[in-house]
Amino acid sequence: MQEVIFKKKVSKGSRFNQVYIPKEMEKKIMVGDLVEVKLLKKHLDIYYHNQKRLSEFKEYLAKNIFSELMQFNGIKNAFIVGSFLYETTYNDIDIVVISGKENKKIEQILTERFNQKFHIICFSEEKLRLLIEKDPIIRSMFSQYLSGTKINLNYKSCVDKNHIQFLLMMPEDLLEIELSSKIYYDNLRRLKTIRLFLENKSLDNPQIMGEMKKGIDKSLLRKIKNNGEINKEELKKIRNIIKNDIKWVKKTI
Amino acid sequence: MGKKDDIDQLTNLLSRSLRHKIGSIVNENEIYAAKYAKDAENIMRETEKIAEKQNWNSYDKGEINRKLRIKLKKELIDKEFIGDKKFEIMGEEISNALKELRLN
Repeated sequence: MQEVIFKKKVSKGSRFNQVYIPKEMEKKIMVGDLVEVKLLKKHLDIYYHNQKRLSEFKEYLAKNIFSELMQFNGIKNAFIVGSFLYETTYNDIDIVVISGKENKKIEQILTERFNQKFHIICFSEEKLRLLIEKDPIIRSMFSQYLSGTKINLNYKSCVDKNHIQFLLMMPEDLLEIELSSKIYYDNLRRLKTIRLFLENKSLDNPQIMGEMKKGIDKSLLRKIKNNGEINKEELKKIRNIIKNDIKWVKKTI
Repeated sequence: MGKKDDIDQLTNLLSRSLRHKIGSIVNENEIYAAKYAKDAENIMRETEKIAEKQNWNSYDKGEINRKLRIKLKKELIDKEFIGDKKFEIMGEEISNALKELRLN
């Protein structure tokens, strides 16, 4: 039989997605004929949530990452979150994968394929929902994201007192023990995120950064972000902010 | 600082680090605690620095073990929001940490 081939994009139908036979082929491929459909090229799309458009390079990279991820068995969706979205220089690319099972090979395969450092976290859909509802840090992570497929993650927040107390343990320790300054920065950020969460405010990066800048010099903030050495006076200032935030959170929950 | 002060500081830090670690293990099925296991690691790194400062004899090691048990138990009692299973795994976590620091 003469080989009859055509290439067409899949289109959206009212009930099912479909492939139409081109008009010029209607005499060659007719109703009742048996055909085979083969995927030639995956359509790459990304969805932005509360996020301005990325640079051409980053967008290209993101599309290819999603395309690679969707080839793994069991992955239902994936999200790019964190500093990759808003920093020019980023340490690693944070990816949250929705999958029924954990696949430790994903990180290694993506690193080899894209020559970038990845941090992959796997959750089931149910676990992700629970985290977005209860965990201020994860909720903040999902205030801005890129995803491989369109999804609505607008879950209502819910205050879990035990979990908030669990999150306060480290800032409380920092009032008594001395660790490197970056850890103070991370925990200040954690506290500001918890505060905004409890106030039911936006948890996106600019909002958190705005809160961070209140009551602390820009230069000191930059210093601790870069893990610089701080003196006793600076440590005292930071501890005071931490102390006040802890007090506010405890009173609020 | 003398050995006695170092033992105090070491057990202070280690009891806090283990409290974070035990919290992240016990609460693991509840919520995303694995992310917060990093808190334990951050304190542990500071503990390692003190552990490396001295040559510990078997008497010192015994003292560290004894003080650590008392402090960690107090830490865990104070944190009521960490599940009750915390006391079941306390002994094993102490042994593992002391082994890691070569203080067993």
